[in-house]
Amino acid sequence: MIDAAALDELRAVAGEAAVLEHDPMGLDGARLELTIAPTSVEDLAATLGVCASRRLPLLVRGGGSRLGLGNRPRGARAWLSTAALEPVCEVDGDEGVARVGAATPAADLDAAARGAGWRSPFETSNPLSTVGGVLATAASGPRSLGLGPARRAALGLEVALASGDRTRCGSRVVKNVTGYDLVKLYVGSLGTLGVLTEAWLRLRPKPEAERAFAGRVGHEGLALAREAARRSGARAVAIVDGTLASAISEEGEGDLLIVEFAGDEPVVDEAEAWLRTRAGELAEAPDAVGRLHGLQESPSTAALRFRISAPTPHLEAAHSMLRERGAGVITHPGLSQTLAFFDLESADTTGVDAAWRAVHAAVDPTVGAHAILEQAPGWAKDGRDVFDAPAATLPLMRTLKSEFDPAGVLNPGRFVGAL
Amino acid sequence: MAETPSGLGALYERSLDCVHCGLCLSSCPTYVETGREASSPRGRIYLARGVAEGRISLGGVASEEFYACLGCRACETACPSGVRYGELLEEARAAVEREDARTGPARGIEWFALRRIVPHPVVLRAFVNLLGLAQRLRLDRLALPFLPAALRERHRLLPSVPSRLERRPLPPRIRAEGEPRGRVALLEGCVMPEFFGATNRATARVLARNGYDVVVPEAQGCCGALQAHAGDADTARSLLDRNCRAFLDAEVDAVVVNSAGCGAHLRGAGHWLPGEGDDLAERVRDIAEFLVEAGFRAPTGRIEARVCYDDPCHLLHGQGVKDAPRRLLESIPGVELIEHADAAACCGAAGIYNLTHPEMSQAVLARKLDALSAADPDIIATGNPGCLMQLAKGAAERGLRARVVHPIELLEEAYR
Amino acid sequence: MSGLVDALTAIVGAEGCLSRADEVFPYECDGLSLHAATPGAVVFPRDTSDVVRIVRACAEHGRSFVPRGAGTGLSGGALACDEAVVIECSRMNRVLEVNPEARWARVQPGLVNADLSRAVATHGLFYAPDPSSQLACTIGGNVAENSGGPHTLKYGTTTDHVLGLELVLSSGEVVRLGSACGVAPGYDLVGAVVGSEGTLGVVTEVTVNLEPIPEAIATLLGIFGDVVSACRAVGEIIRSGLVPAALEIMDRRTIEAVEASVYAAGLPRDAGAVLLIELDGPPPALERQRERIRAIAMAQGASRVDVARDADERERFWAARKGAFGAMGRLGPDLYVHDAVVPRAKLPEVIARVCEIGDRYGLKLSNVFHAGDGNLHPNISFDRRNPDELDRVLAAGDEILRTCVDAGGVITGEHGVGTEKRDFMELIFSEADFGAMKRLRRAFDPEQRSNPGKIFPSTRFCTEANPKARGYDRVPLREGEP
Repeated sequence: MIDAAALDELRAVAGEAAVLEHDPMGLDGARLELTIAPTSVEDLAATLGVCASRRLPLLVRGGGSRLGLGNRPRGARAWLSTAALEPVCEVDGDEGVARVGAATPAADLDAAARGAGWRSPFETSNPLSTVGGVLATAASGPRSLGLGPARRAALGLEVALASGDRTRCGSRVVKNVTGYDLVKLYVGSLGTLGVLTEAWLRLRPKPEAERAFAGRVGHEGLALAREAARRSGARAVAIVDGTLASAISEEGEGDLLIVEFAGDEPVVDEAEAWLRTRAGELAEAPDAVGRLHGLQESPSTAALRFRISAPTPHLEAAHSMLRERGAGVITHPGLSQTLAFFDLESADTTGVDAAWRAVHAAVDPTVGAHAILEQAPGWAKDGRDVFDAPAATLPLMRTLKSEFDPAGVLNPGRFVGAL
Repeated sequence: MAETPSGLGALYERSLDCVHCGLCLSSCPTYVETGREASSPRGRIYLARGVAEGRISLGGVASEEFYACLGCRACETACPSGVRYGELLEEARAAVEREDARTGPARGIEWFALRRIVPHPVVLRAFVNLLGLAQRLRLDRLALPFLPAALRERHRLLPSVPSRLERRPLPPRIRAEGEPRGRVALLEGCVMPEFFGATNRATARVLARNGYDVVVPEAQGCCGALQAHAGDADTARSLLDRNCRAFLDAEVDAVVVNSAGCGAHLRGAGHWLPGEGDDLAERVRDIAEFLVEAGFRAPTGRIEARVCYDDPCHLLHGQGVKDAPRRLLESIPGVELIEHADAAACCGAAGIYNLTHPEMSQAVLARKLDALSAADPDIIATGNPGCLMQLAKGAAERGLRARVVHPIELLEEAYR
Repeated sequence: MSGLVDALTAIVGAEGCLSRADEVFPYECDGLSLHAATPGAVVFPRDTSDVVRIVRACAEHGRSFVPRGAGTGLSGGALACDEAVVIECSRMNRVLEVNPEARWARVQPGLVNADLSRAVATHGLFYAPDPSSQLACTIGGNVAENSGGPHTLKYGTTTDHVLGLELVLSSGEVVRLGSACGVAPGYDLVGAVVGSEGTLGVVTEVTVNLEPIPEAIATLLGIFGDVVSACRAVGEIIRSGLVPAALEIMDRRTIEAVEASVYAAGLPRDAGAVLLIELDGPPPALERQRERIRAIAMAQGASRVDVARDADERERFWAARKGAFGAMGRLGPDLYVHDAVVPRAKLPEVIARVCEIGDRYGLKLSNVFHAGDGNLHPNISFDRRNPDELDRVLAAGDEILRTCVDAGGVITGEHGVGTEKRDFMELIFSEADFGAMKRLRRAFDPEQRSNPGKIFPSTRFCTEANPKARGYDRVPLREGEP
């Protein structure tokens, strides 16, 4: 039980309605009996201050679409939700930038951007995804190849710190070296340094033409995908192994190649013509990338999902090696990423250990490759760092974490090295 | 606060043209070699300013660095602010000389070579004769007692002396072949006739072949470039004065120079002798530039060779002549002109820098030889006596197969 | 100091350690010569282990240190405040490894920016960030300042191209951050170190991403009657969603200075402004984009739009642009280069106001800037020996920065804060914002010995950096001195 004095204080700073006691909810073994959903950024910052001074550990959540990411939480008993914050979404069509609240659904941002003749920098396959969540997890989808990584989209952030301070970094302009680039530090920090409350984002220009293709390919698929990813106009390129591919396309056998081009009409025309000479069997498939994104994010695809990053030549070797070891594999050569999916036959660690062994065999850290376990049942995360972070990098990250969150109340245990 | 030496006002004013942007740094051979700010053009200008402001002394780093500069003026090409670094350097060195702020072997060599030998044709000839004799008899060492101590250690770096036949002087006049197009004077130079007589004769023949009457005024002499570079303003001015009279009296359309260092210096004559000097400077042309501007007869003789042209600093940076020598070489049937990676950089000869600062000179040369070795030409062509000697010696020691010649000699060969 | 000098000499040899007053004198300033501070010593490490030993020696003697590249920075970032030891990286200038297949290179920090592109050109690759000083500035300096350049409009700044770093912390500990494939688990420490102006440690190795050399390039020059209409054209181009590789404006005074310099490119001297536009990509796309841009420029009042006929002309246009800063040296003995960013739609009104400020203070103010990023560079030519003029330069600079901030902008887009702008930081950030930055600083450098006196507003450090405190009005020499 959270003591009554703490509850009173939280209600005082966040408002009665924002503090909700409920039956315990589980997340990766944590039991959470309280949800605090402040309705303003001031309230949220003040809430953090209270939690820090009372050492009340929190799990921070946005839309809840990627809650599976992270190690098992340590001692958290309350949710801090951004869901009740105002869903700010102001698009500046002259500049191609937008001011967006953390709680704003990524889909709403895209709709607003489209209305102003631009596009969102984020993919919107999951309706639950919020802008805050995408930034906190540095989520990367198939179209990151064309849209760029989340870190590049974020120009400025407003962040509430554990100290209860509201802070800003970066700004709305597209080029800026005024002070440290804390934007980079916060993006992908999984809410462990502070809670993102608002962002200035760089939008993407509306492409003149967009065309996606999908079709089954043979052994040459990987090499072809690599080449396609390096063509100008490539927005998403993936090769999906045959077993997983049926969820996207019923037709044919073998690996599925998905290629999406976007850009000026002549560039897309030329890219398509090239693709047709190289892989005649491909058909136009406007929704293939969306379905791919859904497949690779869905918890129901497999029990375990690893995301492997490796430089190009090694990526292809990893892909083949993981296939041989029975994993379902999706490779994005343009992103230097392979996703490996493993099913578990029993609820014990045998299968998990085998999966890690297979992944480690395919990943050579000396060439800069590494893997993280992005999705797994809570018990499968026991006793290991799902981020598999090299020990040498951890001391500095620990120091950083303790500077920003000395009381250890923000997502304790969840990030690299169980920070 | 160091004491401010007198007469530095002009130096100070000049140093203000530099806005400290640093774009010159990577063009500077001594900076590239040492990575030291003080060994860069920006650093040397800043030292000059510091001396002029009385913030540092003229001795020590400032004077060392003023003389450690090769004077290649590559920084002038890189400088967007138009700093006239070459002139600034000469003034800085002149200040060092006035204040007697320099010591060490380099100074002894310069003093000996530039005041006692080079400006005096008779002494120079005697010196070269002695050196040549010693070299032919392989008795170089016999000559050593006659040299100052510092030179003794460096005798290996002295050039080989050609035969007496090679060193015979040019006739005072060479007539144009066919109908004359004009009349030009040729600067013979001081070192050129002693070591590169053949180049001088080839220059005269090419000019004649192209329809020019060539005069070689007897009253001319050493141009004074090396003395000016070394900070010996008085000697430089008097030598320039003699040449002004000699060439202006000759009443020619142009004063043609085949030595880049001399050409660059004569083109700046107005800086030393306003009026007369400007008149002379206006008429000065590098041989390649002159021929390309005037239009030259296409050669018909073939020379089957891959040729690397190497820009003399005082032609490229000092006179802004880049394309003309390349046009001459390309016009020769059979010549394949190939660029090497380091053509625009100094070779380290820099007048007598190779004698005064042998280590730096060799380091700078090594980079050049790396690039030449990669390009692997049959012939290396360059238009300045110092560079010709430095590259010939360097190429031989590195074991490169290429011979090193003045571009005009190749053209002359192709005219035969 | 002498104990430390002995220790440093033992590490790098006598030749690699400068400590006499006249030896360290040229290191008292960088590209911003208005600010100066004399270093305690200057050392030249050859490799990471030298740097580690140097940093440890500094720690033992309680001395600060400052990493330095070519000293072309324009915010005083390489100034040695508190008599710090300058760690000069010019001799750590090797390309250590190139992986053409995965398109990255691992280099030492002292490598000159342009030399990197030269070294990888044989693989059909180049290094995209191209500061105007790229012929001299170093990759390490670029990392410290998160340098930009004209082509950042399309390609992004240094931070978008650094994959990994090796960093020596002020404790002497060596950490390797990031990964050659772009993502590493945990916090994005590479992103935090890039642009930290050398205050988090000494970068001793950089792994950068390389880009394929574009298939085709088109360079256009729009000629405008005035700088405001050129800015409007930029706004329209941005609004249209086109992403040129570069959009650069030079105003009349800049054109005059450049045309009088060695970088003269034949720009029309009677133009009020020129807009330099570069497009790159596949040829069929270029042709259409060229026509769209030409139409926009003409609609915004361009008198004509020229297209560079060949690579030579293109290079001349760019040499004019990149040499513009130095060419301002022709307009006066000193030059103050400002750097601020505003939303691009605000460019026309801000640039008009900037010109008005320059006129009101009676200054020679010219503009050459990365218009596509909204990154202004008002340049003021002046003579520091005139104390009244120096006062006006500083006052005008102050007003320009406030104008940009009021327009929703920031006080530096690519030059950094350094000593120059730390006292303007409060225009942008609150105490709480600084608090967050200090948390980052403490995690890396708890004693603040790595490049002290930079970024944070403070009066404690480096008072000598202040131009007014240096007494330029007392500079002794004039023409015709006794």
